[in-house]
Amino acid sequence: METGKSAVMPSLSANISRIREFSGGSSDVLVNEFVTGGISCALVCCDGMVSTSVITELIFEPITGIDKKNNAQELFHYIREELLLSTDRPSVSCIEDVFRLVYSGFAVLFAEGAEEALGFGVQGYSSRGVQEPDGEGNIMGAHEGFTETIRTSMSQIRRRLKSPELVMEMMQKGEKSRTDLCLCYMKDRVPKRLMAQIRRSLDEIKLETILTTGYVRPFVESRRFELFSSTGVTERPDVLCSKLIEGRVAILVDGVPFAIVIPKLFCESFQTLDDYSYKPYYATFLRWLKYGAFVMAVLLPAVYAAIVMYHPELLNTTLFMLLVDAEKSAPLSIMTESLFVLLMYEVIREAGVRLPKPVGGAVSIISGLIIGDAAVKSGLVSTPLLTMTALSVLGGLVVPELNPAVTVLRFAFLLAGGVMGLFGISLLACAVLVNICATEDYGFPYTAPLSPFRKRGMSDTVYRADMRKMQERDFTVEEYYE
Amino acid sequence: MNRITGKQFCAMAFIGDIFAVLCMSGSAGAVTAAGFGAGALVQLLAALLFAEVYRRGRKPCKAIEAVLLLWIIIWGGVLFTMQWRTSEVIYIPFENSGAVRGKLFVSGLIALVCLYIASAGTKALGRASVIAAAIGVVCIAVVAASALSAHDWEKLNSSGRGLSFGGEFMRGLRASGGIAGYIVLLGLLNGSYLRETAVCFTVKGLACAALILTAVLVTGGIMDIMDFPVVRAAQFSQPFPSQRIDSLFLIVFAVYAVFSIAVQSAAGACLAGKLFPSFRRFRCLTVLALMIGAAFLLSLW
Repeated sequence: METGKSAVMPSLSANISRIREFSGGSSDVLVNEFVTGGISCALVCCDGMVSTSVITELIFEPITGIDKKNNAQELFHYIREELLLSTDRPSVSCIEDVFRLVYSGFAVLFAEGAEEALGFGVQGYSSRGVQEPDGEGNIMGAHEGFTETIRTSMSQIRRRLKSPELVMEMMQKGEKSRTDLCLCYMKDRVPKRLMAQIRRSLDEIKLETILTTGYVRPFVESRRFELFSSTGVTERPDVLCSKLIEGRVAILVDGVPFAIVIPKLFCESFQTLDDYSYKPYYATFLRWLKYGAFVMAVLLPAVYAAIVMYHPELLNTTLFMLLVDAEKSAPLSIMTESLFVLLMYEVIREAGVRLPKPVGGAVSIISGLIIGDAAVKSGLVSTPLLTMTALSVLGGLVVPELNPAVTVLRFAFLLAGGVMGLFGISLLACAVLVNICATEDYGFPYTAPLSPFRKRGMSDTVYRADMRKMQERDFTVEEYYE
Repeated sequence: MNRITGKQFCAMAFIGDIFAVLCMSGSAGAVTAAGFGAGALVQLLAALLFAEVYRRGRKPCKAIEAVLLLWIIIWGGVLFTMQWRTSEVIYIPFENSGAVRGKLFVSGLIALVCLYIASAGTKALGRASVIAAAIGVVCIAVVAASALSAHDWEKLNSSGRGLSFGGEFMRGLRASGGIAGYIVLLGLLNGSYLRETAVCFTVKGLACAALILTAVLVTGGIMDIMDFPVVRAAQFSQPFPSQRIDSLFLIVFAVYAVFSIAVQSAAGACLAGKLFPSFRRFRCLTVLALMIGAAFLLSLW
């Protein structure tokens, strides 16, 4: 037993009083006292964390029917070795561990004269069932996502990877929340030094609580300012399995239906599971569509403002006259107009997200239609600009994972383009490019396989190769280590 | 360790020298392309010498490193001066507003972005240079392809009259001032020093010569009365009847200006770190400040 921990005492009453003292009289900690085998016992559990029917049928009924035993050790030996009440039956010798088990959905049995307690895994808390993930839509693949219960998420992974090489290491983080984290990896694929570095990073977590993946991600990412996150998240077990096979590491957080994937590459944001269901030519088309949509999402309003304001010579006469005609009645400058429209969109989007779903959707549609229509009809905003902004916003939604960065970059590029034209856009693009190229996690460059260039990586970046060729490639992420 | 690959080294060197060609002023002819090619050959020989030193696991002595640092600072100043002068013939919004203030603003912005880029480290700079070089090559290819519609082989004879090979060779050497920075970066190369150096400088020399030749084919004899042959060639060659693509050249100019100065700053900062190990912070900032100071002195001179 670790120093500083309170040992389980032989006296049952002393243990019960210490449990009550430790829990502060919390009403959800239930202590059921009874006598079995001629020995006084107490079963401690947490209300709402255990299944009442399981406790009654599988714990109380068999336990209360035990014949007389000489002492507590004999009783525990009989329960542990012969009664087999549950598959998970840890012994604990300190009160802190008792509480860890109790608050994880275990029932813990104390007996008079025993210097240890016996836990039974009878978790039965209410949780959301497996549903289709909201954020990662899929047409041809499985329609199930992770849930908030870590054990369910682990089983979803295991169901897809029945290999003994798949290792799932449980750990607890968060001084107060004692949140379960699960480190998943394929032990034959994962780079050893990556595992060691991630373990070191996780050891640095001294938080009181871990409520979302966002609490953990900064610890496994580089400290420097990065526009794009060098770790990914997924709520799909099938996607996670594909990452694990490539030698990546995943971290599951109890209470969160997302898994963190380390390391993450920029090009992966443009890959979906559907790409591997379609024919390679169509998957390649889709991939380039997404690349184009990303560039459009970031640059379209800025380039529009820059060209119309400073470089109209780039336009042909017809297009130029059309834009002049549309913009001449607009009272604001093109940059101000663009900023106004983009800000309006962000306000509407945020309102739609935060409001209850039925209301949020309606608000988004009505405000979008009414405000958009009114703004154009009143001449406040020109139609071409609104079209460009809408296209840009739509482009951002094609790659939802990058949307936060795209949103901010869109504004930054608009300001640069509006003030300095294509020159400003070029300068900002240089800075952004370097920031992306500097993004690196544990020696895995975010921009691989483009830069540093890896020819083998092109088969799933520039185009989507045939599955037979991909099978021959036998890719692991270690190829990109620098 | 901030190691760079052969491709990254090649991209960094390519950007630096192409920028010098873009900003080239004065008349140009076929002999200029030959002169620049020969200049690149001399660069190659110098680089091979240092590549051999690195290959043997040695490094240049402190005195040579000090000379290289001084060279880098002066060349950084030259790059700033080139950017300052060339921006006069390229349309940059606000650049011409408020007389010198507009130009200072533009140069200040470039310096600021350079500072950020150089501070990101040679590894990031190397990775970004590959992408920047590729973007630049695409833009130059578009400009060059449109230039083909305006080319005339006769212009090879009519342009560059009075230019001698010796003079153009010296001009080529002067435009190859980035060599000091490349020698420093060569020390960070991950791979075969000699092979990468040979490939890099050959590709770079050929690209510079091809670019000059394209410019000459477009501008021809008009260069006798106008400056900046490459910029003018981009302005004269338009692929569409009612559209102009000068802005494409502006993108190449901005990107290459930023990266060429940043590459020299990063090399200078790296060298400063070797020469003065206790000088850890603000190395890039100091090198850039010294480059700007050098540019100021050069403009007075």
